[in-house]
Amino acid sequence: MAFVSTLVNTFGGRWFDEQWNPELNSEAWNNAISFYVDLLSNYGPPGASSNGFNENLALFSRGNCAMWVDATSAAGKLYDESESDVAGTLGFAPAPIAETPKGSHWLWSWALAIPASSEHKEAAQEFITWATSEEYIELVGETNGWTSVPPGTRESTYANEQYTSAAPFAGFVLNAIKEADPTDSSLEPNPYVGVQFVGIPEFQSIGTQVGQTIAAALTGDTSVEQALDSAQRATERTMQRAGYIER
Amino acid sequence: MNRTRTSGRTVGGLRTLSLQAPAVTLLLLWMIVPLGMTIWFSFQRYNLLMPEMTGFAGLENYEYLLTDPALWSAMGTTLLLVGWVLVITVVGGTLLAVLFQQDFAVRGIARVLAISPFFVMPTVSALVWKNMMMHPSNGVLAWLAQSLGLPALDWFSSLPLTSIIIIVSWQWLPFALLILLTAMQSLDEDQVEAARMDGAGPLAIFFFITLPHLKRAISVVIMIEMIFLLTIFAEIFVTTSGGPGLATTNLAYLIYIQALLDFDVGMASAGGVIAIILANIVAIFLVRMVAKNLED
Repeated sequence: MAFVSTLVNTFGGRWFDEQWNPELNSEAWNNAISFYVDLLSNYGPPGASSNGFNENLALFSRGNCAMWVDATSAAGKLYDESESDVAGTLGFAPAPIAETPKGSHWLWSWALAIPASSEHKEAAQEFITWATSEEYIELVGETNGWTSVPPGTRESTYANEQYTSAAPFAGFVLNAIKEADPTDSSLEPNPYVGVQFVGIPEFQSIGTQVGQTIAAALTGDTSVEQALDSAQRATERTMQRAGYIER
Repeated sequence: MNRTRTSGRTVGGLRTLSLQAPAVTLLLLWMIVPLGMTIWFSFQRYNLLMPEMTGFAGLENYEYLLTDPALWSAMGTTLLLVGWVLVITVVGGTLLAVLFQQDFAVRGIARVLAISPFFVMPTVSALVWKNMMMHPSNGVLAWLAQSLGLPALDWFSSLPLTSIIIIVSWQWLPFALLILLTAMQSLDEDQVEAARMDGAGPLAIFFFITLPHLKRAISVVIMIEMIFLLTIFAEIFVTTSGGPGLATTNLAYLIYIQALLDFDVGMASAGGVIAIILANIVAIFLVRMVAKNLED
């Protein structure tokens, strides 16, 4: 659904309008999902509706797929010759744009947290400091190779010549991180933070339900219109229950 | 009231009750307290994301769930899933039990192999089936189909519920086999020999001697499996996430999406109560069917 959201953004759509009404059956969504279903049915690998990040990584790194649109974090594995058959024949580019470049490329991050109930807070803190330090990056670079270094974590990584010479994608990733804007991610203004997700807690449920209906459209069980209508209804129900919009 | 045995001791009456009381009380509490709390929460507004929203919700949670257009589909899917897995495991388990009762060269190893699927974690076996067996590009079944000249089948897109049924039956067949095999071992060999001497063929022996003997074990298998199969979640979560559409959303998965992902304790409890009611209906139906057999 992450890719679907950026696809919708670039076709000019958004998840919610400024009063939090869902817009899942709008024209932009319809265009985006029809394009998605056409593309994957005609040119996509079999099993696309149940392929996730790992399955696609396996397909692409063995040369079974020619193009893959996903996170920059895959670059390290794909450029590593011991893990990928296509390491020497790779190129990369920003995700395609339909009507607007806004929201066409996403931003996500991971974090490490220490629970408040922990009995070893100092030890945990020490570990986290070490695991995200420059010394750790050096250690990974020397032990596993410089392409495997965790991307997008420290500025010093991108100033490190050993990294930038081993990883041709380094500068591109840095730019992509700087240019993605989660506060301004769609053609028309929207009330949420997030490019490929909506930063409200209810989105976990909404995203899963909408994902199910889009999978049905992808396998041909329903038409794109029916899928989007049922996604719209399900999202409206959840938003009403959560109190964002009136019944 | 107090019966006396020939040894002069009494059976029944107050002494027995007071000795049994601690165990029975513990079991009762164990059952009543979670059930009571679940029912209580289902009538409350209790959402972990919105802690200020409290109060008596009446039937609101139930209304929201019962008006979910996906609910009836989920119940139907649950019943289909449970029904098919029961049929496959009981029939397959009986046939395999008869097979493993015979003595053949590699019986020991074969028995271990036949029993092992039950001990693989559900998520692991679902992933193995999804990525290594049923995947249309990388899977063994696709490779087999292609070497026979047939197009590879995308199991999880075209036959999602069937795929889940296959995975779950593969996991639970060893359980049925184990219980039925143990029951087979108590089959009276003399009876079988007598039947053979009277000219009964293997099929007649199976239907008139083996099956009636196994009735009790089969009812045990059905009851235990039903309890677990109604709450299948891991296999669905890991493979299809309930989709495509609602094809593999069973009641447990529906409650997960509607309530647990929203951290809505009140609604999740309401879903739990609905699941209990469904389970009880199925149980009454099955117990009635099975009680006839236990009478013999």
